[in-house]
Amino acid sequence: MHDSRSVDLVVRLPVDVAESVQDVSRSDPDYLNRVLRYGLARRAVFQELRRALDRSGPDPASFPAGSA
Amino acid sequence: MRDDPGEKEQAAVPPPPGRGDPEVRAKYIEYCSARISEVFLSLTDEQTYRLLEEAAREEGADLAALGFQSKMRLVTRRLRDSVPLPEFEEWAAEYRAHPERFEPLLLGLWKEALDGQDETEPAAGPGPPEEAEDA
Repeated sequence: MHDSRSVDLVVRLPVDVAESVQDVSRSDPDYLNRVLRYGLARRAVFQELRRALDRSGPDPASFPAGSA
Repeated sequence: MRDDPGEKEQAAVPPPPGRGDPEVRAKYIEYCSARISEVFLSLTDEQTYRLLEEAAREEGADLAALGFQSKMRLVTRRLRDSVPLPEFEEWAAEYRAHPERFEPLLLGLWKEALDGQDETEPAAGPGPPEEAEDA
């Protein structure tokens, strides 16, 4: 997870949010890096937990104790 | 006109959580994923690497060959066993009583579960589905 490269993103945001993003990208680009990593990590963890729940059966109560 | 007391009593009983309540269930999963993600992102690079190395060894996987999704699966499986997560029924009761405490923590991933979609999952390819994106 240490190799890195740049990536171009184009997103449509409300104008005030877009301006804020541009400000942050200039003043603290590493913060946007961390925001993206957090969002992607949450999404990947969510998908794995969903899969684990599907495997462990329909009773959600069995989820935390279930083994992967 | 007479009300049927049995009908009134039945209407006062909240729906049972879990089965038949996919929205609460999906929100529970997202809540748990937030807890695990926060622990994961609090690890140093060295701790992350050690955790991944141990998890890959246990599963007989080649860490160097794994992509982001597969690494996150290993991380999730490891942290699921060590991060304290609430039981579903307990969490659902708390959520129903105070949804405003939980809604700000959710990013909306739960909607994807309700749609039955998994947009980042690759189409079935060679090898087990869990490693497909790294193939």
